[in-house]
Amino acid sequence: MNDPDKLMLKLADLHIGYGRSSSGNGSFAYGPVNLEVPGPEMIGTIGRNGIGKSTLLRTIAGLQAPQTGGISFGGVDSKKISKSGMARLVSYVSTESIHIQNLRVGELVAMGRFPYTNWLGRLTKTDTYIIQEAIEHTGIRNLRNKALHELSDGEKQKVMISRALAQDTPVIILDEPTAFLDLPARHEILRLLGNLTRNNNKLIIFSTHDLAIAMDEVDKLWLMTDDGLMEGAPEDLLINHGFRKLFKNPELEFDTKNLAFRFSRLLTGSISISGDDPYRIYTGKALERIGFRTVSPDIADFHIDIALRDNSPQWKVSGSGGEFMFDSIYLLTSHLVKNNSV
Amino acid sequence: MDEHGDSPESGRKFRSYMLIIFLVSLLLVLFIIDLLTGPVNIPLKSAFSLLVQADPKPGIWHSILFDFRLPKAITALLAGSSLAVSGLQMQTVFRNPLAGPDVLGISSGASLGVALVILGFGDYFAINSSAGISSWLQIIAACIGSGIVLFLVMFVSLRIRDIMTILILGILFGSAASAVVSILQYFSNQTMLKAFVVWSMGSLGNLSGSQLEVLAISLVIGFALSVYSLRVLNVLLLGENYSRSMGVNIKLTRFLVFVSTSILSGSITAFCGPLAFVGIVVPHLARMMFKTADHKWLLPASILLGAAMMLIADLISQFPGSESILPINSVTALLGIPVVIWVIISNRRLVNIS
Repeated sequence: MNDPDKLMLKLADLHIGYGRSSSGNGSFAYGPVNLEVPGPEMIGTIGRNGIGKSTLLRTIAGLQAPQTGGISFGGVDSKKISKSGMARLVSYVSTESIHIQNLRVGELVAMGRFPYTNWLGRLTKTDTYIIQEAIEHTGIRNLRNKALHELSDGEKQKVMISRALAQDTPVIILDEPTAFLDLPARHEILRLLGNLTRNNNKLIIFSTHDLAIAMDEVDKLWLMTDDGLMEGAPEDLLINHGFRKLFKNPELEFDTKNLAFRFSRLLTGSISISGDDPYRIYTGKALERIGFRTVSPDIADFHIDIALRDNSPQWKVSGSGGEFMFDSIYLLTSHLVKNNSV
Repeated sequence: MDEHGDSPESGRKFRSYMLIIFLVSLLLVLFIIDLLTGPVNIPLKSAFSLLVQADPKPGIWHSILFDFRLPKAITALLAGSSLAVSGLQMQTVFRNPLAGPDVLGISSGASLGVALVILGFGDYFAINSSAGISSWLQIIAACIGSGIVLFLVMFVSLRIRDIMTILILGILFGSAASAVVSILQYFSNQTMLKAFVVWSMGSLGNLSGSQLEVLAISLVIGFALSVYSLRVLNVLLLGENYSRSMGVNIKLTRFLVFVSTSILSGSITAFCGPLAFVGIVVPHLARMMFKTADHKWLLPASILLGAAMMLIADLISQFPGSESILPINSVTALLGIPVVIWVIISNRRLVNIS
């Protein structure tokens, strides 16, 4: 793996999918994919539902055969790697939630040692040490003796990552590790994966829909579009407008300021706003929702002036209908909706 | 590394060892009671003296003890443990808490095999057969019958993940096998028919010494395969994706487990009849008692609990002190069904396990 001439992972002219591609029903295909990963890094895979994120990840993990083309790890073709060899090279965290009665966290993490133990599954000192490390690095020491069903979804995900870590593979692949988690847990899991890349030298490839969170952590994004797979640092993809190709829907546009997709709106009204931030920004956002574009005062239909009174903002609307005062954005927008439609 | 983290682990281990010791002693007590009680009760002292002194001219008690009750008690041990182990393996491989030889139609498949032997070729063997060959034939037919249904169910379960659908299909396969059995019954003569009906009620007491040998040999093969699969069974709990990503050869493992299950439940069914609900219930009792998912504990626990359940069923069936004997199949069903109901009610996620 340390040989600089050899890439850690290479996908060459890879076509992924299942079923016979000629018969449309129940079949699926994506490709060609040509990618090179020089060494340990964190890669997020994004794309619309059904484009083949899971299939790509499963194919790299060796759970599914490529239709054509090849995958090589450290210069070795994956077809020439045995089942147990693969198990020492790539570990996998699936998106399915595991329910097993009475299974303890420590036991589940220990299962990661499967490829290394004898037929009785006896753990050596090395095994125990690696399990201990995996538990420490994922911060789940306090969960160790808990049963799986006692854990939250986020904790469960950490345990599954810990198991993959115990498998001690240079490559870890995760299918939607943030899928069922609440917001803090999503951040926490992706931060954990980032730390594993940097501190434990892992190549981590995962799929996600949490673009904004992923962009904070990943070294690289694989953007699966209908026109092919684009790769680059998140910022590179911002520069070359890669995100625009992500979804088929023309109304969906990528908001480069907020790093998120949003539906484009038909803005019919015009308004000007004066006042301090952040009130001015919030007000503009709320008014955009009801169809107003923020423009300069001379061409605006309405003007809004935000002033602070006793540390709380007040909105003064002036326009053709006269002047009105409001003390919340909700009242302000309700008034404008009513007034504008008349 | 940290004492606090390890102590609950070793505490659980200690508890598990204690439970094993308890179960072994329980089994010993049940075994002795089973030997001594029945239509004729033999006092413990006399039984002991029968055992120690080789009596030159065997009496009636000697004959009851060694020719009838000992083979029956040993059969109960073998039957209970085999069915429990095959149930445990099936529940893990199907990832289905309601899997078991009888529920998924495996026993019906075995019945079909046995029916073909008893009803189809019974006449032939009654005239010219050595007991050995027909015993083997019966076992092999039952194993093939159960194996065929098992493969059908597995084939379907690869496509359909819904547990209830699989169970219903298992019941349908079982019904199809039973329908064929009915046709065979319709065309068979009275003697053969009676032999088959008696078989289908289940019995632990019909085995001669040589049949017991045949049974024991096939069970050793079945148990050996299940011990070989021990470590893999644990990983299979995580499902196919995880197992394969850890290098498990899924096809080979399934094949081995199926062969083991077919042999274990098939050969018991061949000789003792379809003993209902032991296979499905005992693994749950084992999980409940040992509070673990580790097959290194669940396998011995299922063996011990299965044997104990069968001995208890046998004790109940012979109504200590009375002449009448209940069909053992009904006793195991009545013992087992409450546990199955408990499993269904307590397992709210039943439909979602896939």
